[in-house]
Amino acid sequence: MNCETVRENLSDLIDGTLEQPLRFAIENHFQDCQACRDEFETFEKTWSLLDQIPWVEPPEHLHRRIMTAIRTLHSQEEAAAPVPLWRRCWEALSVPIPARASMGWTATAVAGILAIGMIAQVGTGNITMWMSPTVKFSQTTSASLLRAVRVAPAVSVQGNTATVAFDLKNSSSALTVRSYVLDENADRQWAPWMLSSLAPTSSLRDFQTVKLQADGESMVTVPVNAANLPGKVGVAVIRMTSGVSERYLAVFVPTGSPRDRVVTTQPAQDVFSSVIWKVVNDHRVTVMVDGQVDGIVGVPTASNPLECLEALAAQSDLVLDVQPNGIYTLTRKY
Amino acid sequence: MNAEERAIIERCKKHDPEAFDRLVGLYQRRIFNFALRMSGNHNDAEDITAETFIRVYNAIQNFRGDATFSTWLFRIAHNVFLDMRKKERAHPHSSLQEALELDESEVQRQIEDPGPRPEQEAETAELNSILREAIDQLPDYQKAMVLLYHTQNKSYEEIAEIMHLPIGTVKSRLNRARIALKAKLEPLRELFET
Repeated sequence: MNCETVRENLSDLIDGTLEQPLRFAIENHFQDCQACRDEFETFEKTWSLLDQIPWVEPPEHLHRRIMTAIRTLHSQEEAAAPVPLWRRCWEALSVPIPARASMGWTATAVAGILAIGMIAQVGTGNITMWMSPTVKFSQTTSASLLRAVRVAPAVSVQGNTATVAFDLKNSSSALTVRSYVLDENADRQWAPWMLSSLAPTSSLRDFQTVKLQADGESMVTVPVNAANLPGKVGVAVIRMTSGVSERYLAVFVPTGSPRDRVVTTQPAQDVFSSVIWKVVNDHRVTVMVDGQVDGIVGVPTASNPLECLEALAAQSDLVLDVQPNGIYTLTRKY
Repeated sequence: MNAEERAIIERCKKHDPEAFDRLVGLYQRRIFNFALRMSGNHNDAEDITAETFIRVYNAIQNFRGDATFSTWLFRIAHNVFLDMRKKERAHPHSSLQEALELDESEVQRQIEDPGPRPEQEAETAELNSILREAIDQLPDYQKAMVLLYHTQNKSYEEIAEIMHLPIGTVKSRLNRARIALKAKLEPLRELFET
């Protein structure tokens, strides 16, 4: 038995999976070889250290993020599933014309309660309405750590460019800014977590990523290049980090000219972004959203953006502010 | 896998969201920790975990039960990680982000260690930090094996299934990984001896 063979078999020896004759040979070798014995002891300690690798708790929002993605997939599957023949026959035979009209009215009312501006109609068994892709925001940090990264309320928008002034409190703080265009053609590709995670994905169009790290006050300019894409809403998503804490902020910017579009019904979580989309598109205002928004919100039809956003804020536990520069901000209550 | 888990998986095969909710609750911590140690940062770990469960949703009907569910799940997580690495190599990030990631361990220590702490805790923190750095320096394939064996309690057979490798290759590579780690953990010799 030579030293090299002993060292090749140290793992199996500790693991207890070594054949008995080989184990005895190695143990005999240890009696005469101090170097291999030392090697074995250090190896054993390394092994026991590896067994102590600490576990980290996943962030609280991760489970929700995964389930939102799965529920979105599930809803898309259900929406895509063909209506069974028996049901189509039953509906055709048993629903008289006045009842159909009533069903249409109900569907319109429900959609109206869910979010402003949705156009609902009863077609061939499906309610269709125009909605935006899903937008969701998350923040995963304690209030004290958040103070380390402060975004000044100085967001100005000129044309298709949003400029965000920020103040990084220490050198470990950084901003990652990603801008893209919400596009109805990508509706099948969207998952609720995409905006909040800044995950690289081919389905996010026209995005660009800017990463900055600095001391003191700095400025970052976020281009939202959607001028040639009528009916789209530009979004700049800003990820602010300070050490391991992070926070997201989204800036919605009106682009091009408004244009109605029709996509298949999306799950209820979409309603939030749908409202933002509508407000931005119809009222030509910039809306900033910060924090985590979950659940279904119901916003009544309103003639001005302030009423829409007030209702949205009230139901989503957000704080609405109107900045001196006319930008509406929705901030999570920390 | 117990009867309850088996029942959950059967319901998942029918795309029952509530069953997936349970499944995510059962496994997300394990996948997240594996992803975190493999990728070395929280954001990527979250993305890998989320993508893993989305792939599980899309593919669970193909799970026949030849391997244990957990082995099948880790195989997916490992593939997600490899795909992410491939994408990163194709589109490397800017250096500023890398600088941030590099700084993170230092920042983490600052946050985890806000004031004077008992000596024991300081030693544990130091040990964890050296251990993490040593593992981070391993090549990806060795890192995966070490993590699967030592943190996820996977057997050589299971690791072989997860990584599509012969069992002999797993054993020899894992042995080499431990030898490499032993050298990297040399600074801990003093801690060993306390």
